[in-house]
Amino acid sequence: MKRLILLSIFYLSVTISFVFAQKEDSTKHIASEKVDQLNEVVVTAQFGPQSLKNSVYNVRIINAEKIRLRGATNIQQVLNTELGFRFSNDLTLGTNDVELMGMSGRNIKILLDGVPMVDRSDSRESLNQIDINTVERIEIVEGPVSVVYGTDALAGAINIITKNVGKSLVNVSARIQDETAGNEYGLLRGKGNHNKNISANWQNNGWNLLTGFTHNDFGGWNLAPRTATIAEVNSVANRWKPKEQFLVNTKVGYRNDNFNIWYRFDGLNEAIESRGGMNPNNYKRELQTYTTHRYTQQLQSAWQAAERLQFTAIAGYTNLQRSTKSLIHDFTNNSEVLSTEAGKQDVAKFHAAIIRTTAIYSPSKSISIQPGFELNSDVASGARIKGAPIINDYAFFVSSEIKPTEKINIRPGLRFIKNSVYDAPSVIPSLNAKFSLLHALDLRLAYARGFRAPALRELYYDFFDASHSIMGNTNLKAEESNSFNGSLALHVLKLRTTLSGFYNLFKNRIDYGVDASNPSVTTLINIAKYKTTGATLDNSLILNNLQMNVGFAYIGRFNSLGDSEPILELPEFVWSPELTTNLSYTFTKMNGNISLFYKYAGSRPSYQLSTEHNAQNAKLVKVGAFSWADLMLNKNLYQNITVTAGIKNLFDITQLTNSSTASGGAHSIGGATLPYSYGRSYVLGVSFNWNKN
Amino acid sequence: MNKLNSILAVTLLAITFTSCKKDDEPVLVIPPSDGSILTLNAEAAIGTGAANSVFVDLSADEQTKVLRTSWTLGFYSGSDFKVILNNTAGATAKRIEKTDLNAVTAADFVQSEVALDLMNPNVNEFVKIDDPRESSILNKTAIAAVSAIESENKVYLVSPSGGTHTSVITAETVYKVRILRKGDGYALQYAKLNETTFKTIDIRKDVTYNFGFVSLDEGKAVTVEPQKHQWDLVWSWSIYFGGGGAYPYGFSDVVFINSLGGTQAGEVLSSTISYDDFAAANIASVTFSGARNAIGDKWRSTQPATGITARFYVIKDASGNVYKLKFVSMGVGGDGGERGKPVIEYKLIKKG
Repeated sequence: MKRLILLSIFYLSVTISFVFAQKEDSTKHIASEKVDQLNEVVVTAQFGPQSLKNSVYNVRIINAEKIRLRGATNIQQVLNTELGFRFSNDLTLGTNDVELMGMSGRNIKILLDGVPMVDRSDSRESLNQIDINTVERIEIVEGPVSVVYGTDALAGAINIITKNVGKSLVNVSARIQDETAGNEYGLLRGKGNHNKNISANWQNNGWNLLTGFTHNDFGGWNLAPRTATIAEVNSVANRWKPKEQFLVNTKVGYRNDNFNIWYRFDGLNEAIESRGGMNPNNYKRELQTYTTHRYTQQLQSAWQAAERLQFTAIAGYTNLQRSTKSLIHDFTNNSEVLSTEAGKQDVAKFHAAIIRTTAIYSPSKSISIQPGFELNSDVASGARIKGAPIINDYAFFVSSEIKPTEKINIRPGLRFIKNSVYDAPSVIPSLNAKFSLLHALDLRLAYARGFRAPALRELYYDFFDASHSIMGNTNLKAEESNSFNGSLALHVLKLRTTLSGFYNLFKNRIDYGVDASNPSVTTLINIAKYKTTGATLDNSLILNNLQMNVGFAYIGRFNSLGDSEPILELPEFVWSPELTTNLSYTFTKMNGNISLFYKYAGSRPSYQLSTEHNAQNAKLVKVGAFSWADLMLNKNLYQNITVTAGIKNLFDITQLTNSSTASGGAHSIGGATLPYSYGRSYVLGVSFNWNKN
Repeated sequence: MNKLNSILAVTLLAITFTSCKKDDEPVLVIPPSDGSILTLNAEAAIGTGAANSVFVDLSADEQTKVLRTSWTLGFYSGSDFKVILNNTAGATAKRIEKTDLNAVTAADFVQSEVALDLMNPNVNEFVKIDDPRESSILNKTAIAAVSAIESENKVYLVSPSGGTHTSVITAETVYKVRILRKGDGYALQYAKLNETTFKTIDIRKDVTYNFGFVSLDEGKAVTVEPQKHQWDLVWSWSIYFGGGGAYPYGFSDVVFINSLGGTQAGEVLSSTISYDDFAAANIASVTFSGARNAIGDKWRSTQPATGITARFYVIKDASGNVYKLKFVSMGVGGDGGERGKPVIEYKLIKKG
């Protein structure tokens, strides 16, 4: 631990000394201006497009250039070396969940151009159901943004901003990329990871049209032979299910000086194949397919009605359907029938609509007010959902930006909520402030209340059989959080250093518990509290052709055993360190670039109750530390063609050590190791880009 | 099929030897079944627990289905005077310190004393039921052995389904019972809790059965188990235990052997020897157990849902026939079977 702190201090001092040493040079032209983050514009939770420096929120940006250099095929590959991010795999379902600053996915709001992504349960599998090729940049706000974005935005928001048309009349681009999965690979199909994309856009006279099509085909990894027995299949935990995605998107819009309107459609068809083992007693094998259809439509508009008055409106509609189909294959006669096992055939349907309108009125230069209205409507049905419930949520929010002087920006906000089903918190407040201490030094302080509405599944879950008795609870209240964030940002020439700290206190966490009126029924209740705290230090530096980013985080997660078993005198928090380093060097003459993306994720401790010699003890257990690195090379061959090559997961991480006997969650397998990846993979890709002016 | 062939062979043999005496009809001794593959054909119920218990007689290739809720109390036919509750319907009992049935009213009813709190690791929970951790169901019954001294026989509140998840238990659903000896049998006095008079059913001991059964809901004696030498094991949903005996829990697909009827069973791990290779010569290496739960829930795993575990059983019936028996599928973990219709395969390896 101490070593890490020292290491990061060393990095920081090196970066600072570089800055002063390079003072003269830094006035020279920078090869790639796109990475000069201070001038980059952010939109998440802002009144309007805002420069990063002027944003009252501490926003992180991952821009198109970085995504391109990474050769990423999904958003997880972009975020997995970012500070404070961690991903977990559910290999049983073939899905992933994201974690930000010690909080799991259900407390993170995922937005596509400001429209919430819909998930069927509390893990954020939607994040990897967005076409990476349509992403312009990713904006990350840490801490609650519930005043603007409502439910789920407790730990923060990840806003995926899609591409707009460029300056040319017509643009056509195509990309093909192949990756090995560990040491498994088949050319363009079968084993490995195969990605293809074609996009085109056009603009004229304010009208614009974009469209794209992507095919991602992952062949799985470490799959058992076709006639392996059930026991053989189950004996290895780290098996990756084949996954195939077809993604399509279209955007059509019109803009002039005062008005802008666009419609966007995103479609996804995903199939995950789960092949069971053969029963050696009857020579039968189960084959399951999990199919997801996701259709998201959005209509957005902004109108500058007067010099000091602007309106924006968003309408979104998501249709999500996830089905499970299970076949029993009989090897003796090569026939297949539908499985009759409970829960093996299912279709779950979700519909979600959102309308959000906001106005921005600036009566003077020093004050502006943003009132807004949001309506959400969710409908769901499925085998374990009681009936076909509809949840309507109405919210009115208002925030204002007050600048008493040039150097101070204060932004208070309130959100009022009325929900048709659950008892919503009546008011959610937030207060953000930014002070320019010096020209190069900004201080940001924030207090915010966040909330997570009980999910449809938690309200209407209904699962009764001989060995289960779980009931949803329509009397649930929202989970709430009180969050305190502070950050100090220094920007000297081409160095930006941000030191930030956070403390989040969550109450009314929804968890399983026993029904008070009937002890034999398990239901969902507001029970637990949770806390996270920590600090991060993030440094970006540009030196001629070299871009550097070094980050350090120390994140504490609440140890709930300390609370429930006070007699054991356990610490309140368990801590994990993180270190990230991104290096990118551009060879101007060669038109090439080499980039290294590195992250060290420290071991993750937790306490577990154990009984030894009839006495209750708390045992410290750990998920082991690991280092992740991607090394990527990009070279522009001719005017239109770029080649990408590299190695992902350089340290060949496949599983993490784990001393926990059970890691929680329905599909987790306690034991000596935690499956994490399929190992080192080799990447080769070609992209083509053609413009007509 | 095998059995038919055997019957035919023995018949022919019998005819050969007796054909000279045309006056007398031959007496056939039916040989035990050589083995078979049997699908225990339960009837579907809500969820994973089938509506039936299925009794299996290996030597006769026969299965007998009994609705789990068709009975409430079982009266032991052996020398002891003991009464069991229907664990397969989740029945529970609570002793009341009174001997006058009519003096017991709704005031004596406390829901938590009758409702079984599944998964609660409190020793008092097991007192409400016939302790399923015991090797014989008669070891620790919820209802005390029926005494010859009448005044020692207290009233019990009996809930026919106190240990199931979904049942509603109120003063209206609960019975009050008092059981006395009557000659070499039993007299059962019973009434609904709020009734002021009671009825009586006499149960005589029939030694060809393990128990005589009564349904309180129907108010009469009912037939449940086959005769005690005509079954070897029963597959059912039942109140059982989890956490290594820490708490009571409802189990589907649990298997009990007919320990009171003399059946014994031994477990063999497939890693030691395969089912196919196991033969009469290997019987000596098997440790036989007369415990009711010699098979229990060990043959399958539903949490995690990986289905049938890698083991098989060697079963010795009361006549000394030894079978090897394996579970083929149960409809869990993608084993190609159907839940509630487990498939067993067994083979005679030593004739008794």
